Amino acid sequence: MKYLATFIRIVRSIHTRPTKYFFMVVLGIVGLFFLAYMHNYNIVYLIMFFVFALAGASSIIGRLNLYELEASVLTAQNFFANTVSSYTLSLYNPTPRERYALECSNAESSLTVDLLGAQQSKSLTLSCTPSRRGPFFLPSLQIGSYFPLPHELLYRRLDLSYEALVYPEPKGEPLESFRAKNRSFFGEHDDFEGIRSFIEGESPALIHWPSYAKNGELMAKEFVLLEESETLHFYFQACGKDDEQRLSQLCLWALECRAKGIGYSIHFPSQVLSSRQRSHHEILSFLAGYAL
Amino acid sequence: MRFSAFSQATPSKVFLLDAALFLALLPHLFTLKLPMLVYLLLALFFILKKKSSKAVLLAFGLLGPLAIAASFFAEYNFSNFSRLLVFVSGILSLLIYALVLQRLTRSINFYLLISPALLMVLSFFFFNSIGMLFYALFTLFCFTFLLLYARMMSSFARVLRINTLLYLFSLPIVVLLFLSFPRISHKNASFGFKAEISKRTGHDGTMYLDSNALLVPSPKLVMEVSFDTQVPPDNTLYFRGSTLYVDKGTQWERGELQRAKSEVSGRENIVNYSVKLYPHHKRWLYMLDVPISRVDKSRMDQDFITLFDKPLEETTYYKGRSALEFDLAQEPSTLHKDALSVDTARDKRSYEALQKAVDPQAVDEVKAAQLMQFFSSLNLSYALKPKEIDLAYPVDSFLFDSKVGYCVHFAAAFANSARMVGLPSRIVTGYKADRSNSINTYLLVKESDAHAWVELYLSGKGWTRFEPTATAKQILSVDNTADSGGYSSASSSDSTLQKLFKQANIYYMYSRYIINAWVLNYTRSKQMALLDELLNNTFFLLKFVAAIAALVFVSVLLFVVLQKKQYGDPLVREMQVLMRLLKKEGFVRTSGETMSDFLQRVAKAQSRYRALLDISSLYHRQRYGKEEPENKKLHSEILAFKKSL
Repeated sequence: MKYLATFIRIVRSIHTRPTKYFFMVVLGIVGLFFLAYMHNYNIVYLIMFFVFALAGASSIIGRLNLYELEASVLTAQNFFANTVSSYTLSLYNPTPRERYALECSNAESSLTVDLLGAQQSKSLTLSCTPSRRGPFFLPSLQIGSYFPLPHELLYRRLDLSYEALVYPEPKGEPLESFRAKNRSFFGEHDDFEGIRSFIEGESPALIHWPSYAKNGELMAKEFVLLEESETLHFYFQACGKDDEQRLSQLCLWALECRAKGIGYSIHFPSQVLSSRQRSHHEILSFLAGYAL
Repeated sequence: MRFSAFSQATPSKVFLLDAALFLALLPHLFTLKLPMLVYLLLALFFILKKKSSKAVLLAFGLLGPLAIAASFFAEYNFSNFSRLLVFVSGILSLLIYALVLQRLTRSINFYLLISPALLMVLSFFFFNSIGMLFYALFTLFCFTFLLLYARMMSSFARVLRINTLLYLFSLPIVVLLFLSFPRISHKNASFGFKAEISKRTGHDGTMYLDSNALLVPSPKLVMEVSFDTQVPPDNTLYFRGSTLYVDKGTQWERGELQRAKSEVSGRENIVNYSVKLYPHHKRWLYMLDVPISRVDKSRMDQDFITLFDKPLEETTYYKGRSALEFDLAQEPSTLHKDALSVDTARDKRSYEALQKAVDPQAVDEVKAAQLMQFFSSLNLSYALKPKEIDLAYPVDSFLFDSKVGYCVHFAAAFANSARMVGLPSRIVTGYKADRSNSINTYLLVKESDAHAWVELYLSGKGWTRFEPTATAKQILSVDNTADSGGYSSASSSDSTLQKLFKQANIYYMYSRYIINAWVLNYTRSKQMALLDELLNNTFFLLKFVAAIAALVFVSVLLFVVLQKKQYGDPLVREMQVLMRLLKKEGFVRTSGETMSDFLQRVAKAQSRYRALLDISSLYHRQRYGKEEPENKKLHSEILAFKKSL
């Protein structure tokens, strides 16, 4: 009874999907039957029975091949909405028998493990693209196999039970562009140390009008200690038309500031998040969970 | 995901496919006509040379139809194409044509993948023999092996193990299906295919005394007989062929056919048996003496000779029922006119001697006994190749001059002698089987078993069998040395090697017969008989269930053995022993728990498990550290821990 219960559990936990070879097998059995029927050839009957029995045996051995496999998440990158991200899994075979021809996949990517030794594990890196920000459960892992015979795909889904936080999709105006437009948000205009050629797209506030009046050439003011003391101030309400657009914009700027080592503050209507007070992850997490 | 086996034409996978194609094409090499064979061989050459330019493809594209046309040149009429076998040959040729073109392109596609299976199915149309049975099973095994190999791309042994597991799992199902699947079937079509038919000689309707002698000392098989119970005693294994009444000097013949029918009375010791009779191109069906039932599509004549309705050109299976003890009564007035016909003037010496040896006033049974006694007193010898007798007076020549002969000479002389003393006689030819050619209920009858014996009509008893050959005092073998007169005494027994060979041959033939009877010729009637036996014979039912259970048990056992644990790492193998030990103690390693964590957890649980820390340390040092892996050390530590528990 114990073995029967185990067998039923195995059968229930593993799903099947016929392949084109399944229909070939059915067609073959029907063809062999007619051949045997017409001529009463026991050889043909035998082959027909073997084909039938092998298909069944393959189904059972295939199920045993998938049963009891375990998967756990080893590492996961930061996830951003609508952005391809990868995570690494450990596929573990706790049984004392080898596993063959495993195709591990989620909805977006797949990897083949030809052989997984007894009580051994293998690392797999898969990718996924979360569609929205906020809490996100990693997609279940589908372990499938055409082993041993390819007339059906046997597969089971392993729930990874791994909750990740998806940050908003980083998109919008690049930080450089923002900085160019908003030089006036930091320092005093008179503190400039020199002039340089005006770059198109920079804030008109940076134009050095006396030079223009004198030479007719657009020149921009260079400020003292601009880079060292720069703290960018992002105002939530001014960042886009709607919340999602604003969050995406802020996420992009936050990432770029981090990459360039620039400090920043995000001004929400009710609070201010400063990179000097909170970790980068905390800020992004706030953005991910905003108004959810 | 997508099915990836064979999806890439890597050389190894092409090789696997070629192996499958080669296996599938093998039987067709015997059926293809010469032009197609040449076409195939040419294609093979170019495939092996890996030459597949457009010119080559074009050439094979044009050559193919030509080869097919040349192959079927003789068949180009409607009546031939209405024959299934010709039609199948045509399909086969087209398949091979397409296969060659596909294969020359060196791209593997779906058509190529299913081609081996198609070729194998087509071969079933041509062959239905034991050889084909083994070939088909072997090929199927190879096909699944190659499929698995393509999927796993692992070691040969590993793939073979998995393949064997598949078949072990399948075997009980196949056996059950084979026995129980209803054999609803169209009439068996032979296609006129005669793969296993060969010309044979043997028993003839005429018995010759000259150089055309009947006896054929050949080990060729005449028939295989399977009795329902054990093989009957040696002295009853007479298979009746024909009865001969007329002595023509050089030969004995059947004579006129119009005779009154004998009746079998006092039937005793009835046996049922099945016969597999090889084609002999004549109409006799050999039945054990004396048959009491008729075989389908045959008739039994007045002398209990069974004749088929046409010459036997194919191996024939039939069931027989005979009484081993019988009386063949017949009205004396209806006896064949030649049964007493004898030329006393031809064999004067015999006639005179017989008048003295046999009491003319005695009853028939006494006369027959005296006749046998007379033959025994003549000191006759048996030899397979006797000197030729003088056919001007054959009885005298045999009994008094040469004194050497075989069954034919004994029977002819005895039948004539009986007539000389007033006893109606006839010679019966057929086969006298040798019980040493039997196993269990199975008996082989060979051409060398061809025999002639005599039946005498005894008043009050009817036709009674006599074996005059048994009166021979010695058996001689041919010897060419001058001083031995051409003969020497035959050794009484075969050499050990010959005996072994003979025994091995019988076992081989027996296994062939069993496969034929229970696999190739397992029919609906056999299936119904089996079902009937299962329903009515409880003991048989129990035996049957036990046999199936044993088969399942053996399959499962082998499956388990082949599924043996596969720890590649000897250290892991050792640790598994420890894991089982701890499981018995109530500690199970949880999912995700490292070996180190687990052993530390157990070690903390009780002081007597402290040794586990050392084991853990040793294991990790050997497995991950610089220490040389030495599972003996780990083994002894684990063993010591086990003893400490």
